[in-house]
Amino acid sequence: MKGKKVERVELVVAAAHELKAPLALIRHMAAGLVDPDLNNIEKQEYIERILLTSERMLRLTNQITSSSRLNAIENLNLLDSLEPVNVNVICEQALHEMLPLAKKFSQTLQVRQKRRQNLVLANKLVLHDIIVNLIDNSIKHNPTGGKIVLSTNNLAETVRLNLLDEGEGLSKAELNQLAQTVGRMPQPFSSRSGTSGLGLYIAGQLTFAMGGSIGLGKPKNGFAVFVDLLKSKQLRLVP
Amino acid sequence: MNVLIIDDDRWFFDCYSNWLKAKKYIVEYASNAQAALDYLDSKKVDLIILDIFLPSSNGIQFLNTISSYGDLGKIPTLVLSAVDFRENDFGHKNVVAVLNKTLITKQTLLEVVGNALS
Repeated sequence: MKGKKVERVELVVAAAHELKAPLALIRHMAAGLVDPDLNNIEKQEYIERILLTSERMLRLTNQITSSSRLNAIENLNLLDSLEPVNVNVICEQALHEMLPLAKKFSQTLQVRQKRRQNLVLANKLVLHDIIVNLIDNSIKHNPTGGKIVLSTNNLAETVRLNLLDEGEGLSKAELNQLAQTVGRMPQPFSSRSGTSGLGLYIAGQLTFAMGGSIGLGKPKNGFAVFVDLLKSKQLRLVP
Repeated sequence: MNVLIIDDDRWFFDCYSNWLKAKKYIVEYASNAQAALDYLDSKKVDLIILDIFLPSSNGIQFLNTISSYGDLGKIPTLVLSAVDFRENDFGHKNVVAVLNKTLITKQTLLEVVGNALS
C-alpha cells in the first residue's frame, strides 16, 4: 500500500514535469500572437503549433487519467475486455492520427506490416492509446527529418509490436537501469533527456493491464521500444 | 551580437529566436551539447542561452566542458530551465543568470540578455 502511495506521488511529480514544458510553450506562442514584431505567416505557424501542442497535452492527461484509474483499484485489469484485434489496423489508425505532428518536424512515420499478422488479444481503445503514446514519445526525441518505423512480428505466444526511432539512444548502463523498471514507475529525469519517462510508464501500465509486457532495445542507431501482446488463439476468420 | 541557443526543443528556440531577432541579435541554434561545441569551435559567440535537460550530455556537463577551455569559459551564459534552479546551483562563473522557462517573457529575456551583453 505504501509502495502504491509512493508510486502515485511519483506519477504526480512526473506528470507536473511533463506538462510544464508544453504549457510554457503554449504560453510563449500565445503571447506571440499579439506580438507586433511577428508577421502573419509566423503567427499562423504559432496557431498550428499551439493546436498540436495542446492536443499532445490532452492525450497525455487522458492517459494519465486512465493509468491512475488502473492504479487506484488494486488488481484491476482489462482482461475481461479483451477481444481479437488486428494490430496492424490499430497501428494504421494511430499513425494517421500522429502524422500531422510528425510532419511538423519533417519526420516520416511508417508501418511495416506483415500481410497475415496474427490477431492479438487486446482492448482496441487501450492498444490505440499505447501506440499513440509511444509514437508521440518518439516524435519528441527524433531529430528533425528522422524516421519512425512501427512493425510487428509473431513470437511463440505473443505478437511483438516494435517501434524504432532515430533519436538519441541510451548508454548500455542507462538502458539496463531503465529496462529494470520500464512501465513500473516514472523515471524522473533519468530516461530519455528532458522527459520524466511518463509516456513509457503509462504505456507499460496499460500493457500490463492487458496481460502484455513492454521492453526496450538498443539498435545500432536510435532507440527501440517493444510491446508484447497476447496472441489470439481463435481461428482466423479473415484471410 | 551573436547569441547561441542550445535547446533540444526547436519550438522553444523559435520563440526565443523571434524575441531576440526583433532586437537585431543574430541567433544561432544547437539542439545538443556536441552541436554547440562544434559551433563554438568555428564561430564567435557573445552569449549562450542554455537549456539544462539535453540529449546525451546535459547542460551542466556542457558548462563543465566549456569552463575547461579558457576562451569558451568566458562566454556569458544564461541558463533556462523548466526546473527551478538558482544561480548558486551552478559553480560556473560564466553563468550570468538563471531563468525559469515556464515564467519567462519576451521583456524579461531581452532585459537579461541586454544586461549580460552590456
